[in-house]
Amino acid sequence: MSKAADAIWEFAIKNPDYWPLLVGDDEPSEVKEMDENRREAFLAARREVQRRHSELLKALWSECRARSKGSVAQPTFDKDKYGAKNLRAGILVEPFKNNKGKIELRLSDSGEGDLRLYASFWAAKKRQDQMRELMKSASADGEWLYYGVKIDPAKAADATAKGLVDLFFNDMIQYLQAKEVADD
Amino acid sequence: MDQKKFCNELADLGLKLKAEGRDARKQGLADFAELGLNLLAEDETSLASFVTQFVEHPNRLRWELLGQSALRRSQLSSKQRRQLDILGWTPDLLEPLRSRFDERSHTEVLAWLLDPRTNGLEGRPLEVLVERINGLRRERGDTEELPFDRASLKDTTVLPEVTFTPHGRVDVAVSAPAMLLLIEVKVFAAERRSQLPDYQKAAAQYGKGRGSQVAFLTADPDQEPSIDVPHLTFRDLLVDWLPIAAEGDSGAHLYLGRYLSSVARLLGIAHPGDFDDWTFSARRRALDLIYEGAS
Repeated sequence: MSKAADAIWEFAIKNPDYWPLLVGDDEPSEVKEMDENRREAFLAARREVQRRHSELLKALWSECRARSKGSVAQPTFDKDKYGAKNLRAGILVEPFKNNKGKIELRLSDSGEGDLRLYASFWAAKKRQDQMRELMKSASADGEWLYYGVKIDPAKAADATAKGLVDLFFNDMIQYLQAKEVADD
Repeated sequence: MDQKKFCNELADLGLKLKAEGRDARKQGLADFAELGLNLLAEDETSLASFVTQFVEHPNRLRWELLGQSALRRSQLSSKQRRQLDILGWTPDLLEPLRSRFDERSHTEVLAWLLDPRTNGLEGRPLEVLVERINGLRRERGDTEELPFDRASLKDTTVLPEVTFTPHGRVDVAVSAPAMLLLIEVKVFAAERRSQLPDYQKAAAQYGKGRGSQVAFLTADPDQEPSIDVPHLTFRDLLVDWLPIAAEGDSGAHLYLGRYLSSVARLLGIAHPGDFDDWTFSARRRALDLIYEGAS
C-alpha cells in the first residue's frame, strides 16, 4: 500500500474523534457539507480506512474461528456472521450457548488518545460474578469485562488479531466450560 | 453491490493483476482492470490530498466542527440546553447497577415511568408514547387511533412482566379502561420465535372491547419486528421524553433524566460529563437529537 494510505490508517488509529467520520456507514453530514476537493479526499480516506478496518475484524473473527474448531462446547464464530450488517456496524458478536452471555469484537476509543482492538464479554446479572471469577485478567467496565490490545499501524492485521485472541481465549473457554450457575 | 465497493474491487483487481505480472488483456479483463487502475490512481491523488489537508493539520477540521456545534448550541432555548445537559448526566441510572444492557432493568424502569398513578409525571411519558404509536399507525394506513384519555389516568395500570395465559409474558402491559397496550422490549436481543404473534393473540383476547395494540421497542433501530406492529426505538424515547425530563426538578423528573442518560449511553449518543468535553461527533449526534425533538 502507498505511504499516503499508511499515513491515513495511522492517523485514524490515533485520532479517535475522527473515527465516526471515517467509518460511519453513511457519508456523515460533516463530510457531505465539505467543498468538493476536501470531500473527495475524505471519501477516498474513508474507503481506505473502512477497508483496513474490515480486514482487521475479519482477521480477528478468522482467528477465533480457527481456535474454536473441534469442540461442540465452544462458540462457533460462524464464518457467515461477519457479513454485511455486523461488519458495517463494526461490531462482531457471538452469543454463547446456554445463555452464558456474548462476546463482542470491535475497535473502540481507548480514552487514551487512540483506538484499540477489544474483545468484550457480557453476561446476565446472575452470571456476572462467575464470569469475573474465571476471567481474572480481564478489565471491568460496568457490566462488561474486556481485553484490549494497542494497534501498531505497521503490523499486519493477522498478527494484531492473534495478539488479542491470545489474551482472552483460554479465559473464555474456562468460563464457557464452568458449571452452570444455579437459578436464583 | 454499491458503487464504492465496486470501484474498490475494480481497483484491487487491477492492482492484483499488476502485482502478479499478468497481462490484463490476456485475461479478458483489460477494460475493467484498466478502469480499476485509473480509479486507484485517482484514489491515490485523493489519499495524498487527505494527508495534506487533514493528517498534517488535524485541528483545522476540529475547529470548524466545534465552531459549528458551538453555534448550533447557542441557538438552543434554555429548555433545550437542559435536555442537552441531561444526556451527559453522570452517573446515569443504570451504570452503577451494571444494568445498562439488562433488558429486565429497562423493562422495570419503563413500566414505572409509564405508570401515571405512581411517578408524579402526570402521565406525560405514556401520553407521548401513545401519540408516537398513533403516528406510526397512521403511517401504516390505520384510521383508528389507540385511545388515550387523560380523564382515565387514575384507572390506568402499567406493569412489567405480565403473564397473559396462554400466550406468554409481556415486558410492559398498559391497561386502561379504553385501551390495552403490550410492549415488547429488546436491548440488542433477538425476538423469540412467534413472540409477537403470541402477544397479538393476547392483545386480541384480553383487550376485547378496548383499543388494543402490540408495540415493539428496540435499542437497535434496524431490528424490525417479525410482524406488522408499530416499531419504536429507544432513540424515539429520547426524542420524546427529554423535553418531559427538562420540564421540572421533581424527583420523578430527575429520575427520568438519569434514565435517559443511561439510554443515551446505551445508544452511543453523547458522552459522560460536560458538552465541552465531548468529541465533535458526539456533539453533532446529541444536537441532531435535540433539534429533532423540536421539529
